[in-house]
Amino acid sequence: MIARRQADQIVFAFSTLERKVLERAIAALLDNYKTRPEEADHKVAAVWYSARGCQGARMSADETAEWLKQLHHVRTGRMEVLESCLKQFSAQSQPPWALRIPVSRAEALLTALNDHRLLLAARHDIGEAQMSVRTFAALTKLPPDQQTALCEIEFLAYMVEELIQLLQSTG
Amino acid sequence: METETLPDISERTKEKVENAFEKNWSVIVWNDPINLMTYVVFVFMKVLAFPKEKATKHMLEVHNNGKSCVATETREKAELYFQQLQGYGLTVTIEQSDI
Repeated sequence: MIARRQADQIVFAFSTLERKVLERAIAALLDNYKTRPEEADHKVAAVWYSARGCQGARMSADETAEWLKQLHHVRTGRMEVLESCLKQFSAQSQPPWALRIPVSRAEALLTALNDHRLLLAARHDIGEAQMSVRTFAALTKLPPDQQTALCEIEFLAYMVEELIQLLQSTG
Repeated sequence: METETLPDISERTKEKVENAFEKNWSVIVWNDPINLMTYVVFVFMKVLAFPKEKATKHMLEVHNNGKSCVATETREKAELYFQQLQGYGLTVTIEQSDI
């Protein structure tokens, strides 16, 4: 992946494998964003719609439900930039696969990618120990689904870090 | 016939108004193994308008101590921070620090 800032846009170029990983992440994100908090599976709910803080805030059941509804609204607001990514990919016929994201929408993409990292970790029971894996030998000792999820989490981390750096640069 | 007196009501109203303006709600961010350090700093700068140095200090506090109190505010503002930080995927709670 190569990312650069070009005036008011962030321009990415991906290899075919990277495109596939990103498309898979985006498709999963869109599916999960469409699901309302009360219908989300418990692992999604635990990371995206945790009501733990609402108890400390002494919110009533109605207030908590409203709170979760607002959190869902925040997340559905990120769908537009994700749909635009899929549309851009499908309009291309050969690599390098390019994405152009307006700087004004880049933060939505960044946060969505982070949402997916959280979701993958929750779904595959990835915690501190798995995130601390640094060698290939240690990686291969994990169950296959955790290995795949960790690779995806790391790839998305790379994108997140690139995006933060580009957003903080003056262009 | 006995009549109810108003002072009780006005006392309660006064208390409610005072509570609403009292900055005694702590916003606490908790550590998690997934959110990147750079991402947490980015979010603190964005939501709490922290300069990079302060954002980094609080991120390290979260990382090393398991949590950091990033703001002590009125209930309304603490709730706003709570919602924004949670929207960014951080683990956040708010609690009244002085009851």
